[in-house]
Amino acid sequence: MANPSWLTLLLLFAACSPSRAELTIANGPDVEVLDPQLANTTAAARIFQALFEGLTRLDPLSLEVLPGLADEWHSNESATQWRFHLRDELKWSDGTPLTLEDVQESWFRLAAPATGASYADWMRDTRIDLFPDDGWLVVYFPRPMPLFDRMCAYHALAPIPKALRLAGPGSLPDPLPSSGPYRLVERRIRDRIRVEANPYSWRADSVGLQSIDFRTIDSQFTALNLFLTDEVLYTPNVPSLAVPKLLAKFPQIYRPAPQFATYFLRFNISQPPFNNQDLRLALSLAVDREALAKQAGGGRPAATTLVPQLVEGYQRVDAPSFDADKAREHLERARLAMGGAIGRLEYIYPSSELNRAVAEVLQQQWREVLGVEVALVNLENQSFRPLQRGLEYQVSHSSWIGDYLDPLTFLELFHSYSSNNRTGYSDSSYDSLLDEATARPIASERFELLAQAETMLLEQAVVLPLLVDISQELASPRLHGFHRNAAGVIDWAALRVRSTEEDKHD
Amino acid sequence: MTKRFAKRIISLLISILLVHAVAFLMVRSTRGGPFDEERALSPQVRLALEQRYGLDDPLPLQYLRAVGGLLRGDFGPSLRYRDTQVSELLADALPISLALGGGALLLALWIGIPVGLLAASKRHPLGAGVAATCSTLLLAIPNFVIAGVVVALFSFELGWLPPAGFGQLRHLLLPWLCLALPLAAQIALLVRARTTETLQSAAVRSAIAQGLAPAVLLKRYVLRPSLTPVLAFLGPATAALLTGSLVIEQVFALPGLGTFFVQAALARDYTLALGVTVVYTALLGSCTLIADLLMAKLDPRVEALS
Repeated sequence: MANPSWLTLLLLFAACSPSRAELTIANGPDVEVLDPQLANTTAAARIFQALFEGLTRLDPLSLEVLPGLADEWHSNESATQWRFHLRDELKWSDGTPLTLEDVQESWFRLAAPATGASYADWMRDTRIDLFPDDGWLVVYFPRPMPLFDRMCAYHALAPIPKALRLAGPGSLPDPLPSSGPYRLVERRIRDRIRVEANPYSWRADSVGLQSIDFRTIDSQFTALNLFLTDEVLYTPNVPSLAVPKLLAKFPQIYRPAPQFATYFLRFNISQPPFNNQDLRLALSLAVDREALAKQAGGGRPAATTLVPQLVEGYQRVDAPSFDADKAREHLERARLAMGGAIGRLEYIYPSSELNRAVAEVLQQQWREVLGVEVALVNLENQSFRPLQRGLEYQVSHSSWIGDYLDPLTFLELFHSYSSNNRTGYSDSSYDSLLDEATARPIASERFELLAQAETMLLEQAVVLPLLVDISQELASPRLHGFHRNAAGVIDWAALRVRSTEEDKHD
Repeated sequence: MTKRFAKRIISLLISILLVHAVAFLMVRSTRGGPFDEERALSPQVRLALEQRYGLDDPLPLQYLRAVGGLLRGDFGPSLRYRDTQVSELLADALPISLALGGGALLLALWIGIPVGLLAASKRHPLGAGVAATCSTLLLAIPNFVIAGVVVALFSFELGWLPPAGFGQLRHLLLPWLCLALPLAAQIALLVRARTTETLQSAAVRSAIAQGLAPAVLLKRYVLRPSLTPVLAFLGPATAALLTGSLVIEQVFALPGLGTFFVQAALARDYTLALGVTVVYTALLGSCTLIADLLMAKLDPRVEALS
């Protein structure tokens, strides 16, 4: 009995003992689809930033838009028309030419419902003209797209190779041609994705590391163990339990910074009881965010705005702040309007350590300030989402990560037509503020209108901002060229790894 | 014997079909679907996806299609790993789970049997006490706690082994240890109980009186009868080991089947969830079958009775 099993084991290990990559990082949960139009997790974004380059890309230091596969671009005044010039002689990682048609076909595929892309709306109803002789491409939108150059840096809009465009369900082209500074060597599901420098990248000369391993590590504790034993040089997040110790022991390495992401509450205003604005205001004013952040935030600061305060030139719009007396006044008014009794209230949230801690503090604050008992309902993610989407809830946990650095990516959620609205909020004046803002090419004017919209949303207490999400990256001091930023942008080509010896001499 | 074996195989196949049907019903009656992501899909996109995967067909038709796939050994494309077939995912993960479980099982036997014999021995009362106490203690500690302790010791204090990872033999040593220790404890206690009994039996006492060499005595008269309960226990234990390694896979970041099992259910990856369930059912069934066959070989009374 013993011999065959040992034989299997030996064979197994003979088959897979990979050499070490120059850099190994913990990349969080598994990336389920290696298709930049289909996967939209932050873990996937890190890999796509190495493999697929957009027409533009973002500077990891300033988050400014830099040339990517396109070296030149501009829009018309109303931002309904964008022209891009592709670099000359671009190639996929298999040496075949990367053409204007690749861009056009990729964007058509993104828009096609059959693709199943969640960003399909971005390219909906567009027309694309190609001018292959001088390398220009013109895209016409039926609506103004003032931020399209910035959006082009996001992987959903990066051109993808023909093989991937034609791949059916359940198959991945092998090899997978890519356009970024790296190309795919190996993908072992639930284990790792190995990439190597792409000799055909237009910036191949500036690529530092020859190979990178993106390790799938579900457990944040495991990732932390690997980081502390130098097995990985980067991990995207850390367990909340470890935060106080990390802050005290590794202030240089663990530096949490605000992300372009907010943790907030949604009220279902489509039906009683939360169609009553006084009740929403009562619950909102009764929340002491500072106390919440301290007790349950796991290092996250209190959020007073829905749009994180990271957009230069955008004026902050504060939600009503903690005021126990005013909260009780609104509660009284709500009670009168509802005939004396409020009935049973319920708060739903998807299971997680953080969500549970926040829910319990909220419940306690509502009880203490208002004397109102709110039942907590803990659901797993896939059960939570249809309830929230189908407006089958009263109050619910919410969070959102901005797609691009602009207030619109948060405010458009609550447009009447948005499939991510999930509150039942539908206000024509709110919609027209957004529509008007998108049509204004001058940033200051847009921001003015968007701030008005955010004010409406917060004054009517449709949502209640609670916490600012933070980046919890741990990056080893040996990792050079790494810059923390609010959008999770990493320029893998710019990274270098110093040996432990060099490190010790400092 | 052959007839009985064939009967067992057929009943195993029927159980697989039944479990598959129940699992299909359960996974399809839970709320939410595989395409409920944080960023909502537009209705057209959602519809197109459901059409593509045949999720818009009537449920009975989908079930028949799933059974057809099962008979061909093709579970279709995964709904979450949309560029991969379920059978590919299973084929990659199964050997890892087998290596993890198989190694742990061997280790558990190597540790458990000698410790059990020691615990039953009257000649070393101190050793017997320590062995029995340690076994009982280990039995009570969940394996994720053991994992924390061995990582703290071997990775951080001593720096001998990596705290997690996969690809080389050294990556499996700690997971093996964590999975094997509680099992070894159970084996030790079983061996101890039966050995104590055997040592007092008439056969052994007369063998001692005949002046048989201790080694022969141990091998022929003590070990063989003492191992029967261990074998009976090993069938279900192996299955539990193979299917229950989820926590250890997570802690040590091993790409085995256990994680798929839980994540597929949570993510409503219907095809993958069904695939893993079928593989687990088959594993469970064959482990029990093999253990029964071995037991019959070791102790003819077992076959006579059944």
